[in-house]
Amino acid sequence: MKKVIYVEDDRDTAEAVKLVLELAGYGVELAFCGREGLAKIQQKTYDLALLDIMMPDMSGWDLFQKVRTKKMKFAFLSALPVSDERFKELKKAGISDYITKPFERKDLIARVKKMVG
Amino acid sequence: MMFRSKLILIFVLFSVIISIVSSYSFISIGSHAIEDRVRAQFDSVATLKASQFLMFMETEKDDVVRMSDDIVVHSLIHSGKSEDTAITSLDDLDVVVLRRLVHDNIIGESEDFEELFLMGLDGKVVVSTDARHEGVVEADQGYFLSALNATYVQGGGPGNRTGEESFVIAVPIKATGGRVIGVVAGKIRRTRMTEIVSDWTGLGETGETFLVDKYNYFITTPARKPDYALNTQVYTAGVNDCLAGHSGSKHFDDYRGVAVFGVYKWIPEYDVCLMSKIDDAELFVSMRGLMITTVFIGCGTAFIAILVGIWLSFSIYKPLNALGDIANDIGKGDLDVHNIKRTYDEFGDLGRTLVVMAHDLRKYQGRLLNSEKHQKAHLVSEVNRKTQELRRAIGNLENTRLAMLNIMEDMRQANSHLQELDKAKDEFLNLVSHELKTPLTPIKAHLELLADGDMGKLSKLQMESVHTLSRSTDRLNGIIMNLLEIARINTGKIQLNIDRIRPDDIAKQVYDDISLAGKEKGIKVSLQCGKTGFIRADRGRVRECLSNFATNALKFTEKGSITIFTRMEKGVVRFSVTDTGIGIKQEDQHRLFEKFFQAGRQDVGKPKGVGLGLYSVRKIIELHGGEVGVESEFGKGSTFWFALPRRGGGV
Repeated sequence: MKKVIYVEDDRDTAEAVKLVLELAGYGVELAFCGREGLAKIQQKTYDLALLDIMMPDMSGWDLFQKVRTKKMKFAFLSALPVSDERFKELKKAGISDYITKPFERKDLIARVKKMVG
Repeated sequence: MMFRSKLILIFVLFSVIISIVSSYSFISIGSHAIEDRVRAQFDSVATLKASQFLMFMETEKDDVVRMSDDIVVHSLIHSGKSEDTAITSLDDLDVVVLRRLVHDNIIGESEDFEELFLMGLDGKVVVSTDARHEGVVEADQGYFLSALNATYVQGGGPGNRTGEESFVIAVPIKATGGRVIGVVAGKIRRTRMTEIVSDWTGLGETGETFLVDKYNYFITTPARKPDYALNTQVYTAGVNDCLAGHSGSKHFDDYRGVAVFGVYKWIPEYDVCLMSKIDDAELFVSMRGLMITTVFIGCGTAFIAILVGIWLSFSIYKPLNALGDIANDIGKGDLDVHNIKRTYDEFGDLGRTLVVMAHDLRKYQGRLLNSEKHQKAHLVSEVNRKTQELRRAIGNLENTRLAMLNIMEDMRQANSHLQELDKAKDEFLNLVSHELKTPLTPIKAHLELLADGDMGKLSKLQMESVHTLSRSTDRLNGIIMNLLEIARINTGKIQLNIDRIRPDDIAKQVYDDISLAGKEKGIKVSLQCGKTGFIRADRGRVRECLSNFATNALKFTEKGSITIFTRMEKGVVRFSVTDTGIGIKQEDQHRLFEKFFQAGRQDVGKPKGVGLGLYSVRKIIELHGGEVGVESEFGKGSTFWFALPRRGGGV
């Protein structure tokens, strides 16, 4: 079973995503702030990290910078839109995907599958 | 250097130069005159001597000729023979008689001849006053050979016997009938010749005259050096010139090496040069006196000239000086000049004129000063007035400047406020979009879970609730996205991602999106692409715009057809969607693309649009530098279009 960690400061959103992904057969762990997410990623191994960008203590981007060397996939999950150019830059930096909120369940599952199987 | 000194110097130089020049020419002329006199004198002496010499030679020649004429007859008579006796040679005559005749002959006894002798046809000296000579054969002697023909005088050339110069006069002896039987020859005594020539009366202390033969040997003994070897050649410049055949005068160095002045005559009859000369020293003695006199006169003249010069310069200088004084005084400002040194010449006149001018000037000066005072006062008040005005103007200017500075400051503040505002808007936008969308996420997610049955089986009514909730949530999401897009466009936060895109591809994608839904609804959806090539535009956004038109067409059409067009027009590509829907009322058409306008709001049952609104579409197309528009007939259908420039104008 593939392991996913979702770093998100809004509880309701986090729980909803966890439910959706678990129903799709993924193991999901949650972190409710950047620091917690950082600690968890450094201690455990995951196949994929889904990161919210706008968090109070640390942005998803900063978190990614700290752990990018880890052998796992990274994707952003954010309400903020992204331009094509920016998306290309992110891909070059090592981000596998950028999913906008709100998302369609089918879409989210398909994209996660594409990243980790 | 002062002018006075200059003046004196000029006069002195002038006079000195003149003195020197005149002295020199005086001396030069004098010496030439003396020389000419000497030359003339010597010339007459030389001419005299030459003629004396010539005469002497002629006399001796005559004597010898007479002797030759008489010798035969006299010898016959003295030997007691007849005068007519035929004689064939000197041997026919009595030797003793001949000897006696020769010795006793007045010629033989004379001091003029050194020797007198007779030669036979064989060249043998038959008889001579010099006994040693008798019997000697001299058949090769030039004078003998010549004398066999005619009287011959041999001059010059060293004698072969004694080594001394000799002149020989040789005359042929003719017997009765004219036959030559021998030669009578006389050698002229050199000392006699010397006597004739070298008398130096009229030649001064160092003068002398001598003869030189054509071989450049002295014929006569030079008086100044009597022991000079007589076989020595002379070879002086003067003699050489004479022997070249010239007669004249010359300064040259003589045989002693002394500088002399000589007058010479060439005597062509005997190829002989006669030279009369005097030492240069003696010549110039007379000149010395001349020179001393000249020098004295010259100095005297110079001295006088200097005195005159000084006096002249003073007389020029004095009036100039006086004039200078006057000008000086005037220059210092003293226009009441009075102490003038009077001179009664042109300078004095000038000085007087100057003084008069100065007095007049003083008068005018006075008048001027008065008027000046008035003028000045007036000017001062004028200046003050102007200064006041200027100061006021400057004050105004300063106020204006300060006001402007304030305005600029205000503007700067306003600008920074605006910038802050902008930044705040930016942050607000991001915040709002994030905050608004955050709760939507779990809402949507849970609704999906419910709808999919992951939360348990739902009743029909429950499912309907869920569906209603889902639709509303989607609409809310759409509205939020619309609002944010509009807000971003308004604040200029949009950045177009310009790329090379194919309009036909975009049209195809949009067609694919709606064709299924259209089929379900029973509407014919078709695509008509022109050959549009490439344009430069934002792919995503252009697609959204076309999609907006297409979905609107779908929403507002119940039956009929929807067609998507792309067409190339002049410089632009036109995208359009034509439907056979409900159309738009005329009065609503121009308001379609305004903010938040929803046509057909009164018709509650009609579905509302989601995603980009027409306002956003318009804004995006305008950013591209393109145009949007609509053509519609209420009840019949509509065509929504936008045109984009090929080159991607706008942002």
